[in-house]
Amino acid sequence: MPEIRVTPLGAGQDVGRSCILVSIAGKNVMLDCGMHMGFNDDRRFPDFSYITRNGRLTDFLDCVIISHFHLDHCGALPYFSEMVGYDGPIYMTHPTQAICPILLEDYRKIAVDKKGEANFFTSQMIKDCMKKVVAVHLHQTVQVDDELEIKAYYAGHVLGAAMFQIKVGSESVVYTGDYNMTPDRHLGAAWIDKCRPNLLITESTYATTIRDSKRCRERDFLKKVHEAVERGGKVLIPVFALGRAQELCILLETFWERMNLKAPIYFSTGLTEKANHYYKLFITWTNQKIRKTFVQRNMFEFKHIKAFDRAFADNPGPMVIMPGYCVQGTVGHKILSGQRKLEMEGRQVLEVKMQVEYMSFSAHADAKGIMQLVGQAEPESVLLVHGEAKKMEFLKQKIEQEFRVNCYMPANGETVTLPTSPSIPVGISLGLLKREMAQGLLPDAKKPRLLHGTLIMKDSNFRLVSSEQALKELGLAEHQLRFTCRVHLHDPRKEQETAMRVYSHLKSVLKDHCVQHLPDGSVTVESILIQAAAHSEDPGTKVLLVSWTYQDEELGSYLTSLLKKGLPQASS
Amino acid sequence: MEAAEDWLVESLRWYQDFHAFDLSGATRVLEWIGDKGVFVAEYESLKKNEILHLILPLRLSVKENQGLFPERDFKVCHGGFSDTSVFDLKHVPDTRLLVTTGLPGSYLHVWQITEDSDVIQAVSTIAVQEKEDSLWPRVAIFSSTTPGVLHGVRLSSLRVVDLESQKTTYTSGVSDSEELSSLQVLDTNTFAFCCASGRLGLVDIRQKWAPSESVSNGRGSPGAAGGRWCAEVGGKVRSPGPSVAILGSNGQLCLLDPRDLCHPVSSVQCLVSAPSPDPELLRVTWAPGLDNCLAISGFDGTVQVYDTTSWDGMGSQVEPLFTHRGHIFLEGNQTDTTPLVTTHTWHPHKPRTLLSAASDASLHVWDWVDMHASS
Repeated sequence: MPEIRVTPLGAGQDVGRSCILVSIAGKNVMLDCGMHMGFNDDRRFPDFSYITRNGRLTDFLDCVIISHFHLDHCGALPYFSEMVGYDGPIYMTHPTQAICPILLEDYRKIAVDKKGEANFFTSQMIKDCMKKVVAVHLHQTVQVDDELEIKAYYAGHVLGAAMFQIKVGSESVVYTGDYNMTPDRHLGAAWIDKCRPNLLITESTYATTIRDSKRCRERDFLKKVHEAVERGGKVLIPVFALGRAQELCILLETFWERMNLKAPIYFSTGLTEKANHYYKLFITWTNQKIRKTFVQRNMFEFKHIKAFDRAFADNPGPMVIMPGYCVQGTVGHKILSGQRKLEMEGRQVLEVKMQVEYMSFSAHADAKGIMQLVGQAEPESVLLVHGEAKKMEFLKQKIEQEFRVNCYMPANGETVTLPTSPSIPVGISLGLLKREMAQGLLPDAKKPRLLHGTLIMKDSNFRLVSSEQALKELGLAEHQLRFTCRVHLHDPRKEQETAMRVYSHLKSVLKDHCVQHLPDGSVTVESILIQAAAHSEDPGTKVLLVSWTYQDEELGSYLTSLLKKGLPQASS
Repeated sequence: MEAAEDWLVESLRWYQDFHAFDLSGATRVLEWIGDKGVFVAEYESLKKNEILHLILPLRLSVKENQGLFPERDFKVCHGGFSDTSVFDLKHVPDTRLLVTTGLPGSYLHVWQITEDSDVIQAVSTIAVQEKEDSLWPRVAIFSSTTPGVLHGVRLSSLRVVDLESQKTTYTSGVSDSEELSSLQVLDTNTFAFCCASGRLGLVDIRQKWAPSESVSNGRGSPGAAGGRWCAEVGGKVRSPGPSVAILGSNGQLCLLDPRDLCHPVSSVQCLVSAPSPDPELLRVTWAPGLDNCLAISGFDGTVQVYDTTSWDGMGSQVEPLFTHRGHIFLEGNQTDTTPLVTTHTWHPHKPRTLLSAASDASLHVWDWVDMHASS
């Protein structure tokens, strides 16, 4: 059946883990394999039993695609491939391939070493899982097999994030993962061409928000930093290396220069090395401004930003700013929840004396951004994941009205089926075309024209040819079907006269057709033959034999009913 | 781009807080629901206009530990579609109902915020008595157990319609065809009207039409100078002084005492480039949390805050306490024309926080620093 089926195993009205199953023209693809960060038990993994209860996942799935390195999109990957079992290809971009294992290992360490969890994936499993990865470049068409191909598009959001187009024949689905439609200081904006997929699957976590401008967030950040410095305090910034670190450094450096500030800013060294390394590797994934800067000087050579010394920890007054996500269980997370007393290793209790500011610079698409992306890709239908159905009815209506497409919002485990009408290309023989043209009446571009021919299907090839050619190719003899009908007429005259009457009658009624009276007494209408004969038993009745071929069925039936009505009275 | 960055850096001194948003379409509506939600609505003709119920960013709503709340975004709590342009929207207090008005002005539309979904549904319409081609009826709500909708295009067509029964419970009963520019309900029995000419009146609906009114042509009175006027009556009687402010498209601002509308207490010339390019957008609002302060907009891309404490006499030039220029410097859509502020409103209890919207679909929330106050 030509249809596309989508089942969210995670996401789909639940923010936490993304994992979507797509079935397209017989191919099965898994989009993302995320971990739900809010649960500590099996609920954090997607329910893979939806895919198949008994069979092997490797046999069922044609490929797995990971959109970016955030754990709610790739956190369950080692569990899925090594503990549940999958040996097929896993596609992701090069930066994602480089960064995923680092995050997975970090997470494993916290879960197992700090929290003491059992039944978690091991470091070796992470390594084995990554061996199955096939890295892709942007806009590169990758053939997964003879029929299935995928292509990655730039998504913004984080380094290496991509949106994927999955195509089988003329059917295609685009999955956005997380994306961002406004460029920031270190990443560009998401972009896709007018690929017109049957379905666009888009994340809609922030679909019901209107985002505060990036400039205002930065302004707030600079304001808090400035105020702390004016008070005589120092600034400490723990930040995820591969996220906003670069942005914030550029921002602060520019600000320090403009305001002529002298206070030192500290940055942890391990962080700068890592960040520097990855940016060097994936410079093409950052935006133009960064690339220009990189050419001129080393990314982390700043005048005012220096390495951090632990001795500063006890001074009263300094402020901590934490952009980004602090994983549950860490000191950072506890402080951001408002805790003012921390129990450290060895039962030591620390008081949180500093002012805490939690800021978010994460880039997601809001309502406006989603409308922009739908406008760019021009899909036939839209499917929203990562949002709450009740709170998205308005957005659904908005999308449906603006773009005249269907909008779906499935829950976890709910399958959405989209009927598609794939176009089947059929070759038409030149002879057949020429014959149609010869019948006069030039083709009208706006009107459909009815053609009669024979469809030959051979080796996934479709051709339309004339019946004669088809018979010839298939080595078959043509059979003719002929119908004969008897019409009884009351007419005492001789057969020849009856035939004459029939001829006159038909000639006057059927002005568009060729009516002829043959020398042997029979009447023809086109290729239909009418003969008059006397009734064997009743001389007052004449029998008309009307005979026609299968091709002239319509005219034949018409003539028969016409003659059954009788002939007009002859004038003397 | 550079100018915007410069302005933002300068703004560190001028604003405590500053948020800038881009709506999908410009709004002339900023109507509060409680102290955490606002309504906005689009006003284009020939398209489906959105009506949105927005929840303020968490950061602006919490009273303590603001630093622990990173949320700076508006949440779209409910949304609806209007076939006509919406110029004004009023929420019916203690209900889930809204009334909108705009062009074409033959009907007022009543909407309901549904409970179990996020859609704002159209429920009914209220026919306007005298249909006009280019004028739209002003609206105010008498809230009670049986809410009434006060509306009209002119003084002659002013009436109150019971929302539920749709029966008319009050009519002005006069033939005066002066065009209205604003209506404001003051309590269960009184409302104030302001005509486009500058004529003001307070009406008690328990009596036959006998408003206490201003005189149109007295010296220094509004209207004598011509132009188009709008007014607001201050809600709080916190300090003695005039509580009625009337603003003209020529930049003149008069203060009046409601007990004597015939003699303005003071009249000043605001520091604006007059006349206003679109006098329908004029707006003057009293600050609910600051004594004697008011804000004006509708002349350009700014909102100005004035302290009226020491105003007296007629005709003096005054300087604003603060001018919000964000809409000029942070042009959302980078068009050639500078945006015009379409409306503004004060936060119900944060004394120096305002919301302002402009013709480029920008929406700002800002908390200005009083430079004159002693630190």
